[in-house]
Amino acid sequence: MRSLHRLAVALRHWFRAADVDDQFGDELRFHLDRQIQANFDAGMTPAQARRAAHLSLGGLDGISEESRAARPGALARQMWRDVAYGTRLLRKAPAFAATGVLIVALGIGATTAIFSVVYGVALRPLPYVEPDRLVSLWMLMPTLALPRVQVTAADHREWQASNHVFTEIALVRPIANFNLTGSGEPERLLGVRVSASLFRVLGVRPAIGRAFTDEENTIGRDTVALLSAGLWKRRFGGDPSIVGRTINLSGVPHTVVGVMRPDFQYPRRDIQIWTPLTLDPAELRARLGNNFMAVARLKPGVGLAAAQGEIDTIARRLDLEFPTPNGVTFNGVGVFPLLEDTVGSVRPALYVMFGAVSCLLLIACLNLANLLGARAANRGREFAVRLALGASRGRLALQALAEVAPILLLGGLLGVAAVAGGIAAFIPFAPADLPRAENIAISIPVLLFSVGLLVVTGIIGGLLPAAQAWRSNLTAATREESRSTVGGPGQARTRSLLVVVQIALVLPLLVGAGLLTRSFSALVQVDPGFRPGNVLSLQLAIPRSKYMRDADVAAFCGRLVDRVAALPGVDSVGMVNRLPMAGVGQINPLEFDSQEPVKPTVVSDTRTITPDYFRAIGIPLIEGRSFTEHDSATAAPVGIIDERIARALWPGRSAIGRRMRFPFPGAPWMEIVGVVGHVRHDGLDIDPRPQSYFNYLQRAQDRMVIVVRGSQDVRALTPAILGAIRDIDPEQPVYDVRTMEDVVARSTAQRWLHMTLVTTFSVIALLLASVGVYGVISYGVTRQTRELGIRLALGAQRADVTRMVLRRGAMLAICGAAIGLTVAVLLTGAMKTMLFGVKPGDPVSFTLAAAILVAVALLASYLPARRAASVDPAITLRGE
Amino acid sequence: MGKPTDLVQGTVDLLIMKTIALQPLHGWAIAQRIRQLSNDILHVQQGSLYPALQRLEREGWVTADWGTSENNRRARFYRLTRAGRKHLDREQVGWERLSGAIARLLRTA
Repeated sequence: MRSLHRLAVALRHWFRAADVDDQFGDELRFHLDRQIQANFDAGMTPAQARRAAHLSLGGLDGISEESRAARPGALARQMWRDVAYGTRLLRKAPAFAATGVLIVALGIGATTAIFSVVYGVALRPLPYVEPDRLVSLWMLMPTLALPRVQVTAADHREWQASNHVFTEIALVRPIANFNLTGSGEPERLLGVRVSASLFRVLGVRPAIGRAFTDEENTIGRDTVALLSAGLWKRRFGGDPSIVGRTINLSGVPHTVVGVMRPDFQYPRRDIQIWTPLTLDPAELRARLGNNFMAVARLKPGVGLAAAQGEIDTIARRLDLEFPTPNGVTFNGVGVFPLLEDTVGSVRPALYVMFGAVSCLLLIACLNLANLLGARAANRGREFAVRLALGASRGRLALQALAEVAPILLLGGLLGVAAVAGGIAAFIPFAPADLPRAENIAISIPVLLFSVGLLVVTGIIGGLLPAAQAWRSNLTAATREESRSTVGGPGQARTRSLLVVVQIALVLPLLVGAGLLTRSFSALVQVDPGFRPGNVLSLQLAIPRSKYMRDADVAAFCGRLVDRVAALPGVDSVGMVNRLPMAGVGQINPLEFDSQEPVKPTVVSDTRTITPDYFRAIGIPLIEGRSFTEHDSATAAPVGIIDERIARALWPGRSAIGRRMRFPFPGAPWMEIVGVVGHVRHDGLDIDPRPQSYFNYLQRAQDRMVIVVRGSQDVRALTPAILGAIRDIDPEQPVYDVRTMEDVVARSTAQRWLHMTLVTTFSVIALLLASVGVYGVISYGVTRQTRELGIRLALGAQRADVTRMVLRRGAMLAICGAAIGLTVAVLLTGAMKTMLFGVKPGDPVSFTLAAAILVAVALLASYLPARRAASVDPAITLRGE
Repeated sequence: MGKPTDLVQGTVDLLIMKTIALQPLHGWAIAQRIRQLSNDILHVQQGSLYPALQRLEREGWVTADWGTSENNRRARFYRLTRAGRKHLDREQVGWERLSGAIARLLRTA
């Protein structure tokens, strides 16, 4: 109640301040008149009565002022007046205002942008019930450069049965894609197969309909499906009667049991359909197939370490009971927080970006402080006089802040608005491997963060110069003022210090930009092992319901290749089951025949191809031959290895004619008929495994990619190729049509983004810092005009004067650079994972950064130096 | 502003509230009444009177309306609100305890 009343009174006073002032004047005048009357009644003459009354009242204005201060909302009103005053000052100095607003907008905008990414991707909690209790389980296999490997269904079963730390462990098969046919264009749907327990573990329910039941995780009862909200809206028009309808998935009718909410995006945002997981009893028995993701919910009160301990115990027991298959060495099982799972790989880079942008913001703050400092110096006399007349320092500080407020607000608004627009433009171009990109937005936490930044900026940028001004006392200030219109030596020192700090902050940014740029240029020079120019790739999923036997799949592929190869403008066509650098792999161990007691085993990327694949994608044949149509299902099994395997196993000798096989019971020996060039399958920056190839007639795969090399612009061939596929099977969807150059570029997109961002930040920072250097040097020259005039009059050469001023700029730059180099050495260590081909201490980047910085500082000092040299001694001396 | 000022301020507040507890008064009359009732011992200066009134109004303890004064002029009359009356009672008890304590101390010492 009381606070309500106060608010009401304050509001009344706020909106009717003029009114209240008027009324108060009336009241005081009444008081005065009444006192005069009383004095007169007591026998004074009118003149005496008036005089006595005025004396006793002690000045109407004083009382008004004091009473005003006691009135509600006085502080806010005062602030408002100061803000209004600040706005008026700015309107009088538009160039100054624009510079200030631009600096703030840059600093706040850049920082908000990066924070919106950091928050949306790395910090924002997952949209599940109590997400802190969710973990994922992975096999650890560092020897294969695969830090985390999916788990087997058999292991999952053991964990689920014997653990005491999880409420439940759900199992997900992350690749279960379907061709949706009937009613409209055939379409490729990205789906996953999940255990019914997934929905209990995550704590989510469908928006409409129901989740799966445990019974539906059995073969024969699994023809039900849950749709994503996106698919439901797009394909089925958001029809609420969809539940219970039958849809055709890869030729098998499925009943739709529900639709998920739009924010349900497990395990990835592009998943469109969920179906129940069923397990192959043979796979369970063989304990093979690391094809599953396991996600679990910790029991209340159980920590990550306890869970890890329990899983370790179970894993050790399993290792003894079931020794791992030949050639595959697991190094245990890891329990990770689910969020870590999604964003762990990008987090270090995000934090580096955040560090970089923080440097930028700090530079912007210091720049603003410098800018305002210059103005405060001009108003030094005003502040000093007001202090002398009894204004409190707090009052002046408040005013300083309030006067900066318009700059901050305008700049902040501009910055955040630019980011809001920028995010919308950025999301479609976000690197494909940046998880949770759709979460990047100006959310409430991001806004709060920006407001916090504004306050910090205001305090650093606004109070620093104010502190400078109020340290001065009247005598000093007026004495300095009489000499020149700008501040004294103390202020000059502060401003130089600010500039040195700015330079020191720019250097780590420049070094970072240098390191990332050198990394990127080293990266794009890496030979991927194939020739991506003028090659198109198209993904296909061949439905097993239609092409049941391997022979059917192979025949379909054969027809497809022949048909596309016949198109004009096509140079060569091949098919492969996994495209390099497209983010999906298939890895198997292979055993090689030899005289040794333990046969050598190599884990490689296993690829099923059609004979012309090597020519189409541009992998060189080094020895032997590629496959032919004669290497059929009935002919002798053959295989091709890459030169890395060949060189490792038979250095200096031919691999042709040797034998290899999958290390499973009953797998036949295959004769090696060819050796081809090695390919970087996972990306330009890593190269974990060699490759082995098999003929599509002997090892059919239903998920295939068509690779077409054009003899003319291959992109123009797309409609013809799609038409050819539709001619063969009108129900066959084609997806992810991309040039190989695009595929390679996407694999480097994140690094490109890092490089571009840090370079942009460092360029902005460099600009800001050079403005700072320019300001300080030019201020010094103005202060020293008289001295320079005298020097010139006494015979100093103009070149000497120029050199003197330049030397001061160089001193600032060198001091700043020295500090900055130390900081950079400490900071760039954090960038280790982001670099490629250069070390964090790369001398080239460091030297270059320092050189650029000093050069720019000298350039910024050159203009004032020239002005100094052109001083006319006669005029300056007379002017004083 | 240190403690002593607070004490004086509180005292003035108390005197003002007590004065207008009986009937609404305008500023000048409040000062006069305090002077009369204290046998010319307590003089509330206008410089403290009006800020104090503003403060009390802000706290919601007094409220003011424009009315006509004894000499037929427009004047602002202050009166206690219900909250103000309660506050006055509390303050009065507190004051009496305090002054009683001081008096006892002065007598015995």
